[in-house]
Amino acid sequence: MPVSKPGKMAHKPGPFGRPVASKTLLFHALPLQFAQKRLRGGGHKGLNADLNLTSMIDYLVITVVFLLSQFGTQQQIQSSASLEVPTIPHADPLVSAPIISISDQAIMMDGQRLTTPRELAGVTDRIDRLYERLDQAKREFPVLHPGETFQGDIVFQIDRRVSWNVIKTVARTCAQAGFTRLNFAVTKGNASSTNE
Amino acid sequence: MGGVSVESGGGGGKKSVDMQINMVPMIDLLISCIAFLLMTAVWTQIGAVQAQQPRGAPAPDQPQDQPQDQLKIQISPTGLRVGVNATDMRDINHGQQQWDELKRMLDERHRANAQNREVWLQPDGAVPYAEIIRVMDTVYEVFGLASRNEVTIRFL
Repeated sequence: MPVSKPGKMAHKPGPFGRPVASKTLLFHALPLQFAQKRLRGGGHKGLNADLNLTSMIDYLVITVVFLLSQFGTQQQIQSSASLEVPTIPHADPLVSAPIISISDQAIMMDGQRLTTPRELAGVTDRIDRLYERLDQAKREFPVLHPGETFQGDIVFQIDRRVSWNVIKTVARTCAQAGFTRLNFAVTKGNASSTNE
Repeated sequence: MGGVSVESGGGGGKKSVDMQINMVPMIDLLISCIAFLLMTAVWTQIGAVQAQQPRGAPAPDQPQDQPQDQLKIQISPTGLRVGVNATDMRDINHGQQQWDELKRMLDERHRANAQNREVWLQPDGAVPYAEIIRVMDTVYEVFGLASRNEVTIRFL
């Protein structure tokens, strides 16, 4: 960071932009020793230093914007429930869409508890409460995503121990509501370390 | 703190236009934001495996349309079955080697018919989700990613 150095300032131009000759410098003719020493620039350096704040604030703002951009679907996926999603090495980027979480305890949509896997035991067709929420999400899509076409994306965040029977009932409800593209959220990594 | 100083410029003169914003609270706020965001950030990489399902999927008691000439993988707790039709199905027993075997079989099929970009999965109801995802991962490994239109995974 640049630090101003009093005593070594560049000479300012004189009146009308002309450089001032050293002979005509003000106070140079004074017979006082301390004044001449000060004018020659031989005094002590000043203790005051000016920090250049512009670059520092730029850096801070860019860091804040970068960290904020990390928030989004990824943050929601991790924090919405204590689920252990499978870890695999090959995966697509995660899309932004309504999130359905399925664990042994609950089935939730966007953080709101809708039902439990036990309650699904007798359900053969669809989960009505989930269907209503999905239908509402579909109707709100043009408002929330203007200019985008509805692709039927839905994100599934499922605990790795949940059986396919439960997932199938939820997926069937999604399909009936028009959400036909299932995105199963996973953690990218080495599969052998966690899935065995 | 937080005010804006305006130089008076002397007693009766005009007020100076130069203003000095106090930077200290602004920098404090930015540093606090950075500290908060760093502490709450998620550093694990999240991805997704994409699959299609037919709109208005039939109820379980209704007969389903079986896709013709498409690669199918049946997943059951005892193992996997891979093939195009009933006569062509080949079994893979459950075990440590099943993933290598599945990859080898899919590789074979993919080389034999590179035009086929569709894989149908038929999991048994009792199969845990982690196994289904592992099969989908193997399909991704052999065929490529669904986001790049290299493969389409569908559920029966």
